[in-house]
Amino acid sequence: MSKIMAIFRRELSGYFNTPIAYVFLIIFVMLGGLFTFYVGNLYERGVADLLPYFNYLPWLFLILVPAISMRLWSEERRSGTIELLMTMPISVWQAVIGKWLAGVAFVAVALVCTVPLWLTVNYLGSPDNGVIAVSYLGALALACVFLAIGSCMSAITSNQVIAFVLAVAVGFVFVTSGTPIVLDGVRAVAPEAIVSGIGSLSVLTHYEGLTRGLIDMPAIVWVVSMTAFWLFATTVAVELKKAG
Amino acid sequence: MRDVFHNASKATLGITALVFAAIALIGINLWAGQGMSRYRADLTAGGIYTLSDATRSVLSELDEPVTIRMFYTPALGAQVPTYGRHYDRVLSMLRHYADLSDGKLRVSLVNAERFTDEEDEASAIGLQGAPLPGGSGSAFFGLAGTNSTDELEIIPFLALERQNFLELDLTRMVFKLANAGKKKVALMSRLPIAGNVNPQTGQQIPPWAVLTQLRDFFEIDFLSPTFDAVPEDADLLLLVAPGEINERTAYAIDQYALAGKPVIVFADPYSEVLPSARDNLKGSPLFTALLAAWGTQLEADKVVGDIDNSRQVQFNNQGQPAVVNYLPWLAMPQTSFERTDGIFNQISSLLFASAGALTPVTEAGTSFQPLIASSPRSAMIEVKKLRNPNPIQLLQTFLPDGQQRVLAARMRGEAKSSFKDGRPKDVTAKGEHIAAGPVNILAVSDADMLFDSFWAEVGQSNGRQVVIPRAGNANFLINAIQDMAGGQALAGLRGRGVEQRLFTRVAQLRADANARFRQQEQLLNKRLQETQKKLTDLLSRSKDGEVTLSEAEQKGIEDFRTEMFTVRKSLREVQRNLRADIDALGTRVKAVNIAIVPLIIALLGFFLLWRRRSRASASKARGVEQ
Repeated sequence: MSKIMAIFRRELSGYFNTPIAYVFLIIFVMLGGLFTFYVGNLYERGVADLLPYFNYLPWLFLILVPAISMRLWSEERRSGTIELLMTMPISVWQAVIGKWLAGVAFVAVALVCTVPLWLTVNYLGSPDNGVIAVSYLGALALACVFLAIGSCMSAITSNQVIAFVLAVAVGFVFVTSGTPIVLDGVRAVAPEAIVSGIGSLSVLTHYEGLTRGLIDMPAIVWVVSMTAFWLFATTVAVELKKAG
Repeated sequence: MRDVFHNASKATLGITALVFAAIALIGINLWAGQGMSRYRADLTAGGIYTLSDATRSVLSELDEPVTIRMFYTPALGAQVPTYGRHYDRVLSMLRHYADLSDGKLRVSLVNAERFTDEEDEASAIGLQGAPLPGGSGSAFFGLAGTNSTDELEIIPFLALERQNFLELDLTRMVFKLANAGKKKVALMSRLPIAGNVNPQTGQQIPPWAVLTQLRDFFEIDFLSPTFDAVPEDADLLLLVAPGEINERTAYAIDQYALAGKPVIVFADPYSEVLPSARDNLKGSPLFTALLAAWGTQLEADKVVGDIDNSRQVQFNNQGQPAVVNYLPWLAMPQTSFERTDGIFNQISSLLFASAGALTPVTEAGTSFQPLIASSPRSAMIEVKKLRNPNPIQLLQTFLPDGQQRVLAARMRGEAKSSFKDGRPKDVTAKGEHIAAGPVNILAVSDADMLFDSFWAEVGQSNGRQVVIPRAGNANFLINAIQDMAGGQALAGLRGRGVEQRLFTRVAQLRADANARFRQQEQLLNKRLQETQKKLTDLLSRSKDGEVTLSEAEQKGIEDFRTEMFTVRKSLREVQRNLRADIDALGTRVKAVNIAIVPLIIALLGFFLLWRRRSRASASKARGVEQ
């Protein structure tokens, strides 16, 4: 456990040692605000909730979270520090989790930076704060999944750009996997059971309930299983790429 | 050689493990989606996803089996994902119901694919097909419930617009099938509640939406406005704007009430619904005497104006559309209710349209319990001002007197008959004349509140009527009847609509701005009219008597014209200012969230990085020194 925390601290301080983290946070807050107020029309709409914000968040995450995850493994691989990491007395899965946790913590910080939005709707009216709290949890859970996917893509290649693009692409598939675009494509090549299976992995299906204040078992199962699967895939990727 | 082999087998192992993991991932999510959706935590403020106690009790009290079949065309969910999700929700709720019913409720799915027998069956039962996008046929998404006596209840189509009322609709269906023995309500009204035919066009006017809702819970027996006797098996008498009643009818009502049977009366000093019959609806001396005997009176020809609770309406103000508060139309919030009374269960607001004021009559000897009261910023408005209403003028001449007005009240206790001399000669009735008895009366001072447009939006969805309530008016009546006639089974079951929580701060700004600027606007308008009049006077003088104007008079005309121009300009500015405050708040809010917060982060970042760098160089310096 302490080994995981060591990797976690190393990774997280790495973010904040450079301006990158702050630039990212600024962009995240600004984009979130712009989408919420100018595309989602939060103020003109006149309703005291944060739906305009949370409705756009998955798409914002889709682009921004891979930017965090892309450097988890690719950077180490490229600069050669991965060999150093592997000689330390920790197992691969501990490193994987440690790095992933650092990403989660960073996204949590980013979400905290958007709390002024929450305060704003409370100033303008009296929203259902339970719903908003659950929505934030849902957003963090979503980020956990995206980070797990991104960390796997990052482990596959030493090129950060490719890691980014792959993470966005795979993320996109999961975000849209409940829609006809993907399902029809799958239906053409696979039996109906697989189609429902892919549908059950859809981000939007589970996320939507969360933005309405409902935490249900399928959503929890989805978050835990997806994260576990992609972190496992990351571990396999890192193991396989180990020299010898 | 061995290394390559080792790597290859390691790779195979890894890939195989991943494939199995992927299958497990899909499998576990499929399984969870099917079987686990009942395990959930509802964190909304109103608990809108938690099943109410009423539903639980209806389900647990089921003693005969009830079967609900859901007809669904999968293509609907595939092509319109929001309906796919709605389907999941309905299915999970039905399954939850089945769990709670101890096996008495059975749920089954029918796949209504195109060109199947099931699809034909769906149409035959009366379910509504919805056209699929892209014109690929129609899809079914409805429920058919049956019970042991083969009665059929259907929900023709589960429209998305009613998704917040899903629990209400489902439980109501189960309740109807469970045949819990509906209470009977005798209803008399001069208003066309049951619908009628438009005399001019011959078109059928549908019954009021509130009637449909009542019929779900009660058996409604319509009485003619001149009825001789209240049916013996009536559990409650409901009078809605009874108008002029004759002696026989008045006597029947009097005796029914004194027998201790519950009476709900909606008496209205001004009918918005039926302007032609306004005078008839005001009621006769016999009706007033009944009310007095029960312990209340309604101030005639006056309605309550309450500025704090008045609703905003669109009004054409001298050619300019405006949004103004209309004093007689009220939106009464929870704070105006006597909340300890169970009648207000699950009701958050009630809409009134020109209601009268109820005052107690102490000589009756009954207790007068106010249920809904206006704010102290209220006053009575004469009915004649409502005939061609000018909301702005009403606001101007409004003088609140600090008194609260009662819009609904209960009267209970021992009362005397309004027929002091006993039974009238030409009236035949069963039994002895009751001279005094315990009464159970609920009086409401507005009948318009039951009319569709004053409490709900009634629209069409796929050719069916869909009712979206804006306030709890119908529920209030249903609660009242259940409370007074017994049958508590469904108390607490109401459409937990997601009430729109609006920006109260913005609404406040709007109200304040309106108040401020309307006054200013009126002053300016007045000046404008005066100036205009002076100008026309001057001009007409110069034309009529061929009198040539003096230079002073000509200058006077110029001055007047200039003043009119200035006044008009000020008026336009006033109208612009109405939105200024609201827009300013909006800009501030956006600036803070989009610019200020990132700026703070940037400053924080600079500070933290600078501190780290100076610490690093300080320790480096120390290192060098050593």
